[in-house]
Amino acid sequence: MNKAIQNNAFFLVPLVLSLLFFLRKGIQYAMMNRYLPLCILVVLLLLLLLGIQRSERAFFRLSKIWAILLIFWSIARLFISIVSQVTNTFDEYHLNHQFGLYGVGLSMGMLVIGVMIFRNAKKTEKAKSIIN
Amino acid sequence: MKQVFFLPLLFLLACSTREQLPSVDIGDLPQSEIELQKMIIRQLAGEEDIALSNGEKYRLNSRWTKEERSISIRYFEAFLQQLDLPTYKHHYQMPNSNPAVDLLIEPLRGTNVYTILPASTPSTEYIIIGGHYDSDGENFPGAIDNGSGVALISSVLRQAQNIENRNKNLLVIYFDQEEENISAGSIAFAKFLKAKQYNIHSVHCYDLIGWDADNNKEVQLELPSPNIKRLYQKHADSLDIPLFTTQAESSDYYSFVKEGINAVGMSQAYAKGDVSGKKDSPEDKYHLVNFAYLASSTQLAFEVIKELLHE
Repeated sequence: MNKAIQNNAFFLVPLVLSLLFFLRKGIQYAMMNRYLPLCILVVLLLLLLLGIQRSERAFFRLSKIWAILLIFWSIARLFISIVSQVTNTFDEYHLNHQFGLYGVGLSMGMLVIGVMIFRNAKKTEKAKSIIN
Repeated sequence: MKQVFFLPLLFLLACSTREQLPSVDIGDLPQSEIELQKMIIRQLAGEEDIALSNGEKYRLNSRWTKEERSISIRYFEAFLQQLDLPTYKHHYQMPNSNPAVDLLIEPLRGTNVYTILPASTPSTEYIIIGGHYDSDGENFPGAIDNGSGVALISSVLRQAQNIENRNKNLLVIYFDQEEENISAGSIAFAKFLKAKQYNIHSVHCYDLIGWDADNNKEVQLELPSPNIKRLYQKHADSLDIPLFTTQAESSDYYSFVKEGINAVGMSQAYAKGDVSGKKDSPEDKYHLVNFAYLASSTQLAFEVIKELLHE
């Protein structure tokens, strides 16, 4: 892996964390014969690996796309959380819990992670292009 | 660079942290079946505190949150311990009904609790009786829905211990998450039984069995096979209990029917409108339960199970 990527902990740590989170989710659902989350993650990982092989630029670009998807994921969850709290939509504990305080915490965490990946990918990419 | 490995590890550890709850101290069980049922509904529907092994008390205002359901599980453990029966926990997780939703949220997680009263002569065949223990919302005590079903199966289990010459095993199960719209607990358990290739004679689910406004003792059978219907009818006739059948496809019994298992549901005559009007509300409380009705329904269930165990 390129030194610029390795040394940028503020980019790499959130990226690894987010991938681990969705990997866990993917494996969890795959064990229940639901393969969509795992398929999406595998495609993403393959693209990231291909990107790293091809050029740093491609890798950072893909990371930014992943970050945007994460941000969308978080915003969608936050939106559902807010609407459900206002309208009292979920009388099922399972949903109430996932879109309640715990869910908001998770969504906020992922939002921060998404923003960190995006910003640091952009910054590192910019710095590299100046050096080059 | 170390952070790259350290932080994810910390994250995974944080994810695996589990809250530890004390066990329940249920004390001695009342001798009479009706007193036993009263005690179970009183404690599970928040009319009376549950004693915990650490000396503290816990009041179950509902059986809805994870903590409340965990306390309920410990309650069943304590009850089964009093009967000298083992407790088995069936932990499950289920995907969401729409695969796209899987991307957004976690799967459904729950725990069914069951025990097995073995046949007196070696047998691989099982009769299963069950009822769900969760209630339908925050601060919904669920005395009738389904404290009554839980009390019924608990009483049938205790009485079945005294049946001599049981030719089949009796599996008694308290289902989780029936109220989560899709009867998650029973669906997961039906799949578990199929996967483990259990030899099942029949499954009998009891739900909403504590309200009888017209005091006619009438019960409703849901989706019975002809043999099971005949059996219930025979005992209902001898106990002078009016009985009618419906073809409703919902709740726990239907989870088994879908898997090709011979299953039936029994409940109060709600298809004829015999419901309290307090179902799924904070008013589904202990004082609403018609214990004479619960006792007659329990008697019917027991006679059916007794005959099946003897067959």
